[in-house]
Amino acid sequence: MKKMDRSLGRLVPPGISAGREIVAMAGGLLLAVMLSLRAPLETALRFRELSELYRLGIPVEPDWGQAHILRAMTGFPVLALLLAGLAVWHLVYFRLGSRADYLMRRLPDRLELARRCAALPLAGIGAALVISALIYLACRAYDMHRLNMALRLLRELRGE
Amino acid sequence: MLEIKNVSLRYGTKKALDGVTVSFAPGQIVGLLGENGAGKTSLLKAILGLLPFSGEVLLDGESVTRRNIARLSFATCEHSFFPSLTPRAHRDFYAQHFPGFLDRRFQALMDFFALPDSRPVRALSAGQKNQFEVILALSQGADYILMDEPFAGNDIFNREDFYKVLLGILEPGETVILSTHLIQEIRDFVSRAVLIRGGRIVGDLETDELEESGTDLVEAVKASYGYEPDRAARALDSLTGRQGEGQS
Repeated sequence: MKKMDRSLGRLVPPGISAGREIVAMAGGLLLAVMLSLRAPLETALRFRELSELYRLGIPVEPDWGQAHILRAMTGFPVLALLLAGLAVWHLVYFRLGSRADYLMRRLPDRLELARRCAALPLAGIGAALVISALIYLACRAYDMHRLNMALRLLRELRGE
Repeated sequence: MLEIKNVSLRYGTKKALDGVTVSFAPGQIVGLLGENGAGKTSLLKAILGLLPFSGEVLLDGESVTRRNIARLSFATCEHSFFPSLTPRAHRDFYAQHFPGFLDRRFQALMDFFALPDSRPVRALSAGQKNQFEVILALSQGADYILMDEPFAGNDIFNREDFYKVLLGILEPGETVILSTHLIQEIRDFVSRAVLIRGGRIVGDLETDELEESGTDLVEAVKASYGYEPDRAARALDSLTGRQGEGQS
């Protein structure tokens, strides 16, 4: 943690632990990823139900949209909102107990304040975007795979 | 030379500065004097670009931008340090951001005021916090050191000590603009007094000239402000009804 604080200390307001924020962010991302695993689980359960119906000779059209995937991924936008809140908190931090924002606003490096407020939250939002896109694509691919399998079983049932 | 040209500033509909024009030459200790709400803080914040204003602030002929802003430092009674950082961490932060940071001066002033180096600044007393704020402004390596009521809450001995240190440590090219209403305290330390009232400059007095003419700074300030010495007596008379009694 201290190593992270030293190397990434310039990305957070002075006095805030970068390591702690990164660990919290990683925890949030992990939670969002775990929540999103509901989507393939739901797909697998639906496929299992369909397979059972087909085994009983009931030809039900396999049709499921992507609402369950989007629902399962709500953790990511929630995390993004929390991270936007973190950026606001960083800004507010400079006014807690003093007006350190005056100092930040008169530093020769004009990006210093913006960097210390927004760098980590933006990095977190970026990571959430990338990971959620990858998970979405993987879920869609798994969905299509199961849908094709269900259609093949249905065709077999209908004797096509 | 720090030049303020026709600077005006508003808070909503209220005019805080009204066409202020004044300049500060290198090597002066200037008292920026005025009552509460006169516009002292607004003027200092306008110089630093912390408040939006109309007009011009020029530093050796150039607008104040990120390129030259390190030539200005600021000590405010609102404090601009990081409460959770130690003085040592502040020193590192300043050294990182201000190329002209005066490490030796910082250490000397820390020693003089006997401030602890490794305790978070929030744990210091109110007076120590003021001292630390001023130490940072003096150690930044700026040419123009702006101070806004920096000793609010400090005892008189502390302030006296500080004025003496200030006179002793300043380099010839360094300018201090000290906003205060403690006129009597600073009269022996300032070389010039700029008086502000209602957002306008109402007086600009060189202490040398005052000395030559045998005028006391406090009296000159009172005169510039149109101070009426018998105002309190008149108010008391009117409150107690003595005036009426006298007339009857």
